Amino acid sequence: MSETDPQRWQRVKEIFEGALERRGVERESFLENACANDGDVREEVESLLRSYEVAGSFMESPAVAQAADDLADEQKLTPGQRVKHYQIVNLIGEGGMGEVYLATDTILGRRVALKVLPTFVSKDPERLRRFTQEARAASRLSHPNVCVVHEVGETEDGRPFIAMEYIEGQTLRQRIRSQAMKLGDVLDIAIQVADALIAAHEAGIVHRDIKPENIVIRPEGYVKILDFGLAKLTERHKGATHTTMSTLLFNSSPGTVIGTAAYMSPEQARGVAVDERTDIWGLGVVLYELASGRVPFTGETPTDVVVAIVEREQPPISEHVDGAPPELERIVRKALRKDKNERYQIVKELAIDLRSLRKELEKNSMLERSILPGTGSSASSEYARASSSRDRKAETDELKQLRTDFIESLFPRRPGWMFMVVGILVLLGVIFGTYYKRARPSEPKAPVPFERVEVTKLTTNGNALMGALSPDGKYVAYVTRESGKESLWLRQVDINSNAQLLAPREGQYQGVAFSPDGNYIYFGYAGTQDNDAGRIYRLPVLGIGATATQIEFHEGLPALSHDRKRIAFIRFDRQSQFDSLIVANPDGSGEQVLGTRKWPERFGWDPLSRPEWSVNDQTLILPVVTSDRSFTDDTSTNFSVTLFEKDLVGSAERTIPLSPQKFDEIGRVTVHPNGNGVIMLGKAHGAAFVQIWQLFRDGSQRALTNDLSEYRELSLRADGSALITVQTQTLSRLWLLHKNEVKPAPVGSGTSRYYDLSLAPDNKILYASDASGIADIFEIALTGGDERPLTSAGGRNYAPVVSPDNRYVVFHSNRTSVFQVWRTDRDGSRPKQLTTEATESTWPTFSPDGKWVLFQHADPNNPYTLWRVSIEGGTPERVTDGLSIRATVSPDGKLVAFWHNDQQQNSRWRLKVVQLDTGATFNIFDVAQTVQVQWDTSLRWSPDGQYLTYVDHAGGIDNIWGQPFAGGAPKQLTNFDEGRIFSFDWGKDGSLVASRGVITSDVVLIKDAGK
Amino acid sequence: MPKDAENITDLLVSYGRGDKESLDRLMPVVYDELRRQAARYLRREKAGHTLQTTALIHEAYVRLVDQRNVQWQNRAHFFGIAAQMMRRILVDHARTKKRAKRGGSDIRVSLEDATATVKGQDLDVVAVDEALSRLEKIDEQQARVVELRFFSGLTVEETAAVMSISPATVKRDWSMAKAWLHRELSGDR
Repeated sequence: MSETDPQRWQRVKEIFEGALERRGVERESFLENACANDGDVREEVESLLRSYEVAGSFMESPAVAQAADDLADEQKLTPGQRVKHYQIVNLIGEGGMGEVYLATDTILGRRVALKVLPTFVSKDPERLRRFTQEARAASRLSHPNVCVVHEVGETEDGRPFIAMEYIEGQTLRQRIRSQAMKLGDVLDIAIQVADALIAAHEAGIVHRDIKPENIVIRPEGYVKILDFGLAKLTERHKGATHTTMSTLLFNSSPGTVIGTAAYMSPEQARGVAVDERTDIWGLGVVLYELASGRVPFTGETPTDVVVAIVEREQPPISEHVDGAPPELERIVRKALRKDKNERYQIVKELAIDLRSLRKELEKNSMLERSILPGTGSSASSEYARASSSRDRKAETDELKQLRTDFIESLFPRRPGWMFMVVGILVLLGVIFGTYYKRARPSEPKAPVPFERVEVTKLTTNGNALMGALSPDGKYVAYVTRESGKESLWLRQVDINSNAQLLAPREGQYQGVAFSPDGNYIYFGYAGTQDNDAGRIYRLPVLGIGATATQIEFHEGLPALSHDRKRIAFIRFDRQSQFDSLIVANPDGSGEQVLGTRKWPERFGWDPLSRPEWSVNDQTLILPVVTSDRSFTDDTSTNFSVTLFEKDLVGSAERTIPLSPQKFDEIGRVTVHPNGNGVIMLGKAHGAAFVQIWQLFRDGSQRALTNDLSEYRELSLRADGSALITVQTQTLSRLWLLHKNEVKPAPVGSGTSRYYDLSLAPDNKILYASDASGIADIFEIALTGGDERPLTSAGGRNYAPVVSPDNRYVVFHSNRTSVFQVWRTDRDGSRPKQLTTEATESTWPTFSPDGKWVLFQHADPNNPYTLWRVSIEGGTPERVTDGLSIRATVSPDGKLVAFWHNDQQQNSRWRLKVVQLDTGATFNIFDVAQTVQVQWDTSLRWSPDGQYLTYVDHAGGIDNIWGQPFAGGAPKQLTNFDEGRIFSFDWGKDGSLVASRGVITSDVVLIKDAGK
Repeated sequence: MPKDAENITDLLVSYGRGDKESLDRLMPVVYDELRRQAARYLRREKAGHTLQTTALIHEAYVRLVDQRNVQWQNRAHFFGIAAQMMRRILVDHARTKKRAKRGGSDIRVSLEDATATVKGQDLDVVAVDEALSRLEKIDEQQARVVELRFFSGLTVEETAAVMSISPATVKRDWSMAKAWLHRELSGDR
């Protein structure tokens, strides 16, 4: 009878179940009865019962955890499949740390190597974090001998991946096997590896796993080191002992090729802490192997190898091959000292020795000699002679030379590649524009940098003006202003240390930037005698106490290609209004113009813009900013941004549209290093504030910031993973100061953003506010009640003034695109446009009889002259010829005063009073330097007609001062003891309303917190 | 809820009606979802914690199936499918590992545990699977109980609910299947 006989099974089952419910004698007799005479069934049931008794916890823990583990694990990617924007082409390698695929970056159209790590890596968040940190750090090295890491991310199912430079070539392991190596090649390779390690160690990164498998040689001879930081992953647990264990496990079967164990340093083998000297050991082993064809420490089993590493001295190279230079033996011995304190202490020392050796062998034409076994020459005496002449001095000179080489390779020896003088004035300032419709940002679809961010305020004094982030993200250089003096500071981001680089002084900084290698800070600065025409200076980053040197400039920042063979930069030609994209050799020779743009289409837009090199150095990418007007005209508006791509081979070029988002003002525009689009400062069309925007290739856009602050600086880390900006926040409230009183009283309880105050004859305060993100005009009673908007028709509305008869309100608005003067009834109804010029008309004010509206009008040839138009409309007529800002008419209607600048050399802003009917000059007054005049600086005639009143920042506190119109010294009219005055107006009875508050401006670090 | 939830629900319903083709279409979707959930869980877990047994499948179910339109019967099908799938995944994976171990070239084996056993248990998944296949032929109900409990981590009560049998029956089936499998695997009779 078979087990599968259903009837029998059923019977066994029933008896088994019955027996389970019984114990001992009871079970015995049950079985006796149930099985009757069927001994076969009884045997089966008893066998199952025995099995049940011993089964215990057998299968009691579900395998679901294991299944989940397996599920998420090692799911191979197939050709055509996508990981974010990378499309898999094929599997090119596989190993203990996951698989490597050749993939196409579908955004940049370039090939990348995609290393997908096993899931277990991501199960230990701490380890993952450390790895990511290291990989990112390594990616920031941007050293030509370090494989570039483009991105560290996570696949949809949670496997970490690294997208990196796809390197064609062979690993050093393959090379060793495939061809004989010349001594010159050996030294070349070792020197390049050492160079990469110098850069890594300076950045605090230890490779930990230097071996021929991690070194790739490109066809033209460049050496690239792979997998910085990856070695950390093999440390399965904290504590180095486990490193040893897992490393040993790699090679657990006897007789298999000894892998990693052979390259382990004694400290790794012993499982104690490792530092950069472990890499020196690793390079020593590689050098030994290259020179001798063998690894220095071998054994039958990994354990034997480890014992050899820890205890035995390696045989000299000459034991394996003839003709190894004694100096090479010495270098290898020094790199392979068991005690790390006796080894080379820094890779630079090793690099210097290798270079010296190469130089000396060169002199003696030894480099062509092969040193592989059997092909070696017998010229050891020559080697000995060649290398015996080293001395201390040579080493010192070499060190100097090395340093110089290193710096100069990054910095072309060429004056004048830095900035364009006028352009720098635009660095902070954004150009004003006018437009009407509101933008509606939509959500982007592409993978988005800065989708999740970590925001850190780096300064808190509220007085930061501008700043720049170093390419490696470690430093922030920034400028602060205190008591009218500006100073330059350097902050180390991670440890929050601050150092003042340049002491406070008069004058203005106009922009600050790091050199691409992070060694220098460049800044524009205009001294008090410079009349705003700034000069560019250069200061070493680590040069506290060093002096800044002035340099010439007429070009944008250079971008060095990844192979360091070429630079690309933008040249600004203001005369002919052309921007050119130029590539050249690093020393500036061999210039080649790759493309030009005629203004108002501009490459890069500001002098800090530079092209981005694609990773294969085949393509340059840069932003193009287009305006509908000339860039020399302050009323430029309607900015949009596209990308320009130029292939160096085949010279194809592409203009790539981004989001069509229009901007009224535009600041810095930077290509994101991932090539996916731009990140920029802009005031979206119709919006009130400059924010940080991202525009993408897929046509989407995104406001990275969206708040009531202004942003006015944007400096990206080289890898695009962080940026700094300067965030400016303004808060104010309304105050009322009755005549003859000292202490002002607050109007209402609100804190908001109040501008352009005007006290109406009915004792209401009119003001403009952009606190909602769009500027409108409001009124509020002196008691703080009855607050209501007077405009709501769109556009930005500013500068309300009520007519003396309380019938009308005039103001300027850009609701029809360009700022024009408008009139409404006192309640905001019946809007009527009073000016219709093509360029802007702003800051209206009434003549005392209420018949005329005076305003300032700008056209490209005559910036801000004074005009007037009838309150009923009609053709405006010009009142003044020169610059006339914020005109105010005397109570008797005879005189008009305004801010004036004759725009001559060293000219300053002055207060000018002219006869309203003839235009003849009545008086001109100098004002204190602490009066900061801009295009919108308030000026009001006092109600008694005696003073021209304005805000003076003397002593760091804003107060209202009065200049007697008939002459004499200015007089302080208020006695506020803190804060800023944003706007003020006088009542007929001599009472004063003012909007007072604070502006804080701080450097903010925004980090991409990943997906 | 993903947009194909409706579709999944339909497929489950028609599978419940006996349409075997819909199973072929269900499997990849369920599999994908299980993988996603698994990945999510593993990330959430601190190393060393075990997975909450059924949460993974429950979550996949909630995400995939529009529960308003699905009858209890279909839910049972879903869990049945998930359990079969988990079984298959485990076994495939274990087989791969065994192969790799024999080949001796795959470093991954040495990083992970080098045997094809279930973590923390001295249990050969491939052998369990083979034995379970034999049990299926003898007693399908018992085999399904094992599948749901062992491969999906359902409790006795959940298994009973999914299979529409009493918890007592589940317990009895489980006991016998366990005894039978243990005997099969330990090789004594």
